Amino acid sequence: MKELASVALDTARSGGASYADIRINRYRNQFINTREEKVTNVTNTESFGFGVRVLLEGTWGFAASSRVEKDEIARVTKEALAVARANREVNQERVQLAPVEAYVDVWQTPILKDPFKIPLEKKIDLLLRINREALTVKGASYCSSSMQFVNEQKYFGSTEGSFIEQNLIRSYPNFTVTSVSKETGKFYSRAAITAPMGMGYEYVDDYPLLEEARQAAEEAVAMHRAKSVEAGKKDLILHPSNLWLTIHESVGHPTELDRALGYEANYAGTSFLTLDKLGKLKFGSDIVHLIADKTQRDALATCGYDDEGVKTQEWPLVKGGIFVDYQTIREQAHILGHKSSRGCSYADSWGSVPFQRMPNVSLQPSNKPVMLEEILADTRDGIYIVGDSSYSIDHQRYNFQFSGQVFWEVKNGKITQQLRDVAYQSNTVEFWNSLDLLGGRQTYRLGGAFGDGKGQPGQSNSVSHGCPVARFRKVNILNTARSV
Amino acid sequence: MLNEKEARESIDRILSFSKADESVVVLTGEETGHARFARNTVTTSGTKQNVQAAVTSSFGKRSGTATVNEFDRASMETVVRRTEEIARLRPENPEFMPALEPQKYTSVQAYFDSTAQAGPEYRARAVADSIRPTSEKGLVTAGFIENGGGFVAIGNTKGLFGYHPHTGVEFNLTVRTQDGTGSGWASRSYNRIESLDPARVASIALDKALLSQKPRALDPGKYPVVLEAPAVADLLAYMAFFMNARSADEGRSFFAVRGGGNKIGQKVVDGRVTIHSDPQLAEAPGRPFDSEGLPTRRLPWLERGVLRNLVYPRYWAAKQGKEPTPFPPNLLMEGGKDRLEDLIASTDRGLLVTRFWYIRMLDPQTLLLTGLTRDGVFFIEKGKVAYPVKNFRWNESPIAVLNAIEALTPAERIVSGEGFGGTDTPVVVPALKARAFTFSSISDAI
Repeated sequence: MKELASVALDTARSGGASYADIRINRYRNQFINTREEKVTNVTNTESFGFGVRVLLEGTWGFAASSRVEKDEIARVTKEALAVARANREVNQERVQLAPVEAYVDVWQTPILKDPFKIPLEKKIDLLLRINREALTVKGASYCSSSMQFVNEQKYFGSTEGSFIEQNLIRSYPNFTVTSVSKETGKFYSRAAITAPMGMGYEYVDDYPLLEEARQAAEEAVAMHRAKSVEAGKKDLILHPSNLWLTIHESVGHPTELDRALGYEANYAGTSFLTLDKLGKLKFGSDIVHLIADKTQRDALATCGYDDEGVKTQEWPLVKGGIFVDYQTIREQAHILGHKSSRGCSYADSWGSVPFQRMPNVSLQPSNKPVMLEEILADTRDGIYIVGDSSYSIDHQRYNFQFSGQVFWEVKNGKITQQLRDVAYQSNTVEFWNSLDLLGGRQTYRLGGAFGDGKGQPGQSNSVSHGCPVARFRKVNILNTARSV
Repeated sequence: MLNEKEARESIDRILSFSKADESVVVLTGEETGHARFARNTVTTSGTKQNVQAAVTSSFGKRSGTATVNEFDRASMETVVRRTEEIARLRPENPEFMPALEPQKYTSVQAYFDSTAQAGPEYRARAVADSIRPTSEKGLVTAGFIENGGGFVAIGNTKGLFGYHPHTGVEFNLTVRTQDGTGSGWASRSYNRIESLDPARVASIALDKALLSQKPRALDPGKYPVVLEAPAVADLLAYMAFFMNARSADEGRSFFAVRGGGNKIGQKVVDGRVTIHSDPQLAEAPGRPFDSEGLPTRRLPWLERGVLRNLVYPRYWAAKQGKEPTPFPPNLLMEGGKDRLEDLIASTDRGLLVTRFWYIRMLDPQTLLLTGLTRDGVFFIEKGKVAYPVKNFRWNESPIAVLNAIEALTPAERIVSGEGFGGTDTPVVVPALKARAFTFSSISDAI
């Protein structure tokens, strides 16, 4: 590999590049899909190729190819130089890279069971059992289930002297139960609250999938009789399986420095967290501590080094409610006066240009062992939401609206009944300042997504968000029932 | 980029390793280049070349699929063995459909050499042409251009073969005022690069940025609305995503009928709504076959408000005794004769919406969506655009909007705010005026 990488680095240097890197990567996926008693799809994908990035007089160029051969690497590197040359005249901002140490290292996701080595029959058997378990519940009409496994085998070499090999593994079991009423013509679904994880097959083995399948089916069926929510301001208690997505959208994205600066203005949008708010804005209540962390065990964005060879780390984004930092890559560090990058560079394929992508961003739990029951007991008029569903937020990350999988009415400290047609709508700063009660470490868990989209051409990032159960005061609840 | 002969040879080579009852190969390739710009300067740019094969092999009713993008003999043989291994290890699928016999595909002209050939210099010029007029006026622009060629080819052990070369150029940009109080956007997609005039597209975004600056807050609520074509395209796209016959027949779709069956033949929207697909439409060509090799054809989806077709996957079509129907290769909605100015002039009090953003399904039973407006919302008073207003979150169903139509402009090929309508699935739609649209809260985003 080093020999192949050197072809690119030498060609780039002799072509006048002040910096170059090459990523030679292999991506493997396994998808298994079932519905009811049928296996509808089993697909293994594999993609191998390389991408070369060059910096010529402060202007980027990139080229990529699936033919991993020395002559092709030399040709593609020259093409990357040609791209940089073509853009040189138009470029008004010369790129400045923060210094980085040279690393020669190997890193591997710490897993117990390689999902690619688990027999297919075992996976299929579990998925079909999930479907059967759900469909034993009276009123459950359909159940589909799936597993997806990801393996990124990445080799990175740069003119800084780094040569890094990484092997990343991710796993995601999932299912959805649907209940259809022939009498009313109504249907309701309840999806699993499993999360994609930076783990091996041990996550699948240890997760109580069958128990949750039965529970999900019961809750989907019960939705037909559930009370349609009364709109208005209520206290909101969010399970981590719901809150992770709100963190992702309202904290993860606005703290991306490229968005704040306008680099994503044409697609994902900019951010209300402009540079003048750094260190000043009261983003949340005093108990809100949000950290970025690319080293957290089991989390999706965790790796040893980012895609420009920066060692990964943990740092605060919001401390005691104050917005204190952004996510950065090497070319952005100087803008904040930082000496080095936070290590947030990622490309979703050998053929994609690395750029700033979200690390795991998580809400810290209370130091006290506060359990869900105590939060419920303390709530007079509220809604407890489990699981994520419909989510939408504006392009500067102010106004958002989220729904969930299961909704419970909380009256005078107790769960009273199941609700339906629920969505909550708020504004980011107002919402995080309304957080008044945090669960303890015992209630903390990771949620996450495989397909966080950003950039043009569009790229997909895998990222986790950990959080405890949390309560938010007087949030705007909508009733989403409609007749057309 | 493989030509037809090379694609056929590659597919045949892969199929020659097959020991299964049947094998199918879908070969896709791309050679593309892009340039991004932001803050009035070029940012990241690159090129990419890839060819990939997806192989499916089956024994009886058991099949397995694997993909590969390495084409040496060992890799090709390995991928075929992998599909056979998967097929042997999995249980039978009672819904398995055998590979298609050779099909006849319509001829579609979607490939243009000039689009495939334009290189980094062309893109750098387009970027410069977009930045110049906006920076001269003291505005800030960000955008994206991508062009290139590709192909999709399909072949199987029964002798089926299809090859479809295509090219495309995507160009979109956002122009913002320096103080961040105004923002405009425009997006275009063409198969033939000569159709694109970057400076003209940039001027649309620039005008919107100036017109939309310093918006006032308007109370949320129900308003008559004039939706520009990109906003209409998103509503249609989200409706199209759910036009699946099986979901409807299973009772879990807006298109389901209580007690069983689907709404084909029923009037579901206003009589002025006619939507069809036609892969051969020269200005917005669609793919001639889908990923299984099913031919696409001219087909009505909604005719004068009546649902005419739903997507029928092959198994479901066979079970229900229907013609298999692939997902639309393009979406073409008939327009009217009014101009956008006429739609505005006929509105006493309402809102003009440039485009939508971040649309998600809220309730599939009613196709209730949520989303936001972006890049220009304007209050219309007494037939004139009075002033820009702040963006809104909205909660609305495309079915309700298409039932409240008052007027339509002629249809045009556009790209929606969510990116629907690129060369993958071109969209030709009108702008429309609707009696009511539900804006539920204000967004401070600009």
